[in-house]
This record gives sequence, C-alpha cells and structure tokens, in this order.
Amino acid sequence: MRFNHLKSLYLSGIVFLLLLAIGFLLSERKLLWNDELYSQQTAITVDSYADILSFKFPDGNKNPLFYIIQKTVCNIFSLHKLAISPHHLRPTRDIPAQIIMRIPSNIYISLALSLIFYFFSRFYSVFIAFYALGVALVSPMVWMYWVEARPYPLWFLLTTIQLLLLYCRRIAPEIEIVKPLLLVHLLLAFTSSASMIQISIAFLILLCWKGKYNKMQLGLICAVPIGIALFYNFFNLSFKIKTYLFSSNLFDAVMPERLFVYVIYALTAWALPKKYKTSSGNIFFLLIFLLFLASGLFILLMDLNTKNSDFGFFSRYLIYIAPADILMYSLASFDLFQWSRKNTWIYINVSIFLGGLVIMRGLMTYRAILGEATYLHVPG
Amino acid sequence: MFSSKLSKFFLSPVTNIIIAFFLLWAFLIATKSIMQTITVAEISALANLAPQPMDYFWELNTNHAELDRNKIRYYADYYEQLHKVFPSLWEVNGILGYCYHYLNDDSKAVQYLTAAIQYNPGFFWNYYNLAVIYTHESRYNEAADILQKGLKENPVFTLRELLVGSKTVYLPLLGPDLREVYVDVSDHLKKTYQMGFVLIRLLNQAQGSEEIQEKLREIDLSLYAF
Repeated sequence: MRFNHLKSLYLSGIVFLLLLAIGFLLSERKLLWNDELYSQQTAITVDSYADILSFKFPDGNKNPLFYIIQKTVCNIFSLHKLAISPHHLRPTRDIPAQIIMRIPSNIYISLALSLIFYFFSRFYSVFIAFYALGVALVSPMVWMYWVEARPYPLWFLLTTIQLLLLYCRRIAPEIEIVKPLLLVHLLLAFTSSASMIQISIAFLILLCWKGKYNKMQLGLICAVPIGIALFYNFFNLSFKIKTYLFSSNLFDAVMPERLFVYVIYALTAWALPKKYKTSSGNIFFLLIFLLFLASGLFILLMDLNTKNSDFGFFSRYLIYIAPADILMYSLASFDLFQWSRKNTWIYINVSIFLGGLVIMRGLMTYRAILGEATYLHVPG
Repeated sequence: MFSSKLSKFFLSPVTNIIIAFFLLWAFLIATKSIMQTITVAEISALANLAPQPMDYFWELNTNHAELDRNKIRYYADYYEQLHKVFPSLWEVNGILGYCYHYLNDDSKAVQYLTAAIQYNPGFFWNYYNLAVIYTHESRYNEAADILQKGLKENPVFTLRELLVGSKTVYLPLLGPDLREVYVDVSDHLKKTYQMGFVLIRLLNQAQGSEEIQEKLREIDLSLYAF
C-alpha cells in the first residue's frame, strides 16, 4: 500500500519524533569523548563566527558548516566552555552538555531516517518503508554516530538527501531537483572536502540521466560545490593517514552480507525473464557502485602512498556510503520481493532470506555496539 | 530445454520447501553462534568502560578528595557491567554498594553490600559500610549486629584479600606499586576498626537514649571503598 504525500508526511513526522526521543536517551547514555570535546573546547566555544569562517581554529577539518551550526546551538542553550583542560580530554560525564551538544546530530540522523521512510512510503509501500527503517536501524554506522557532536551525522543527512533527490530524478521526473541539489551540494562542500567524490559521481549520473537539463545546469550543480570543497581542502591540515585494516574500514560502512545480496540481485536481474521484472530500481545502483568503488580506490591509493602515518583511517570517514547502502539494500529487497511475488513459495523464501539477514545484522550490530560500551553509561 | 528444466526445478514447491528449511536452519545456527559471542562483547565492553585513571577512590579514601557524583557514576557504570558478566564477584558487589550510597540509592547499596558479605563473609569493609548505612537510617540494632560480625573478622584476612586476593577489582584501584600503598591501606584499616569499636558502643547504647541518637546523627560517618 502506497501512501499519498500527506499521509506519508504525517507518518514520517511520527517516526522523526520517535527517533528524536530515542536520540535524546542515547545522548544521556554516551559520554562526551575526545574528538567531541576537542572541537568544543578549542573551536566552538572559543572562536567567533569570523574566526571559524577564516579557518582560525585548530581542528584538522576547516569546512565551517558544522562548527557554525554547533556554535549557534551552544549559544541558544548558553552552553559555554566546559571545565576540562583541552590537553586531558578523557571521557566526560556532563548530562546537559551531552544532550545540548548532540541536539544537531540527533536531528540530522532522525531526519535522514525519516526522509528514507517518507521516500519509501510515498513512492513504494508502507511495508517497504518500515523495512527500510529497519535496515537503517541495524546499520552500525547509524548507532555509532547518531549522537556525536562531530560533522559525520550532518554528512550522513546531506548524503541521504542527495541520493533521494537523484533517485527522484529517475522515478519522479516532474519533481524539480536542480535548486535543491545545488543547495545540498553546496552544504556538502561546506561540511567536508571529501564530499567532492560523491558530488563528482552525482555529476556523472546526472549526465547519463540529464533529460531536460542541459550541461550548463548540471555543471553548476556540481562544479561550484567541487570548487568550494577543493578550496577548503587547501586549508585543511594535512595528516598522513593509513588504514589499520583496509577491509574492516570499508565493511563498517557497507555490510558484507549486503554485498552478497547485491550480487544475488545483479544475477537475478540479469537472468530473470522480462515478464517477471515488473519494476526495477537497478539503474540507480550504478551510482552506488561507483560511490563504493571510488571510496575503495581512494583508500587503497592513500594506503599505498602513505608510509609513516600520523593517524589511522577510521570508517567514519566513509559515513557517506552508509545511507547509500541503506537505500540500495532496501531497493534491491523491494525488487526481489516484487519479482518473486508471482510464486508464493519463492516469495516466502525471499522473505525468510532478506528478513533473516536483517535480523542477523541487528544482532551483530547490537554485539558491536555492546562491545564498544558506547551506551552503557547510566544517566543520573 | 535445460533452462526450462532448471526453472521448473527451482519453481517447484518441493524444492522451495527444502530451501525454506535450509534457510531457517542456517539462520538458527547463525543466530545461536552470534548470541554466544554476545558474552564476549560484554567482556570487551569492560575494557572500554574501565575508568582512566582508576585512582579516584584511593584519592577519596586517603587524600579526602572532593566527592564528585559524576565520577562515582562513571565508576559505577564499569562495575555494573562487571557485575553483569560476573554477578558473584564479592568485590564488585561491595564497590557497587559503596557507589550507590553516594549516588543516593541506599536500598540498592544495602542489596549489593548484603550480597558482598554473603559471597565473602571475611571482608571487613562491607560490614562497616552496611553498618554505617543502617546507622544513617536509624536502624541501630541492625547496624550493631552487622558491625559486631564485622569486627570479629580477622583484619589480616581483609588486608590479604585487598592486596593479594582481588586482582580484578581492588588491585587496579590501588595502583601499580603495592609497597607504596601498603602502609596507608593497613593504617586506614586499623583506624576504621577503631572507629568501628567506638561506633558499636554508641549503637548498643543508642536504643534507649535520645542523646546518643543525636550524637550518632551528628558524627560524620563515611563509607569507604576499602
């Protein structure tokens, strides 16, 4: 059952509020840690807006959007510098600061997941919308960075919006995407310089699907933001970074069992007679494959060219792949459900297979988050 | 020809029932093995929860550091997890009893301290701490009974348990060099035994005397982690 705009919006609003409430509970249970405290103590509460815009803060990432939003939220709630030395940033329990500093990140992730929910309930079905929400909620990256006063949740939200807009271009061409996409790309460029990878890939996809848009418009959507990202990259502190374990970094962002499903999906799409393939989102997969491939190549090249590293490469630098993975897995599942619908037995087996994988991933994510002890700090 | 035979085979109900059973079996096995490793995750969570540095209780005990409930809660999170994995570790029960008293939850504190005494009846501090909580609650008879039992225990046993017997809990709290802390710990234990004798005398007299009860309320009785 597919919902109209109003019903989808209403239901997504409820999902958003529920996720937001969960996020506040998580904020209470997660201590402030080194990176959050460093940004807070050395940039957000110390520097003026002008300093942030002119790169005069010690964080490695100089793209200002996250810092400006964070500073505004801290000003609204009168959260000033915490009584901690920036040289001894141990895990810190400060419940009001934990909640206030993570309000933006909580909103970003809750909004991203609600948008995914809205998208599927509006264009597919309510069942697949809840399924996609489940797929998102079993992703470790979501739980790791749901409440985190760093730029990653903002990056997650903007990537989600970017992917949904691009996909809307395919399934609902009547929706005007140029201006919103330009805005999202600009915000991405002001959030992280690494976003130029995903903006470049979006450009390639738009070239393939250009339809009524001309090359000039498409260039504007992508070239200006890439220019901004490159500009900030020039001011970013350059560290020598190397992965500790290449595959682990990559597979925190893209689940290995999901890759297995993508292979099955691709094989089925190739082998299945046309009459079974009533609808398909597989053209969209090109974007996500390219995103995944480009990220993998980027890390590989970085590893090969770095001998003595200053820092390790963390999977959070690939957080932009997580929403792509969530969308792709949900779309692949939708197609597999649709294709198998005509044969009850195959439909049951596909349901057991996909449902089982989601449940197993949920347990594995629970195990990973439990092992990290992120949310084991009792509030109060 | 081959393709139609193959598709018939895959579309037949018998094949699909077999596949369904196989899938369910595979998921059950996989789920079971993941559930088994969740205990391993609980243990690895301990390493991530362990407070760094672990000297706050020591500072509280010996250098009268300022009482910081946030820090005590931070320690309690770690010991809660340790308790979840190893519920019958007497030291964990004892430390949690101490923490919960300062987190203003005396009913939980009593519960943990009682369990600690049950698991290791020879360790003096748990009797003393429980008696202090009972005294705060004006349960003088119970306080006297429990303290009486504690004072009968051999202090050398308590010292041995603290310095040698508890590798997981007390040793990390005492720091790396035991020779440095030995004198302080034994001195502190001696003082608390002395305090215990004074307290039991007052407790025994408290039942009929308003004046003694008033005195007991006035004395600043603290709990000690060790």
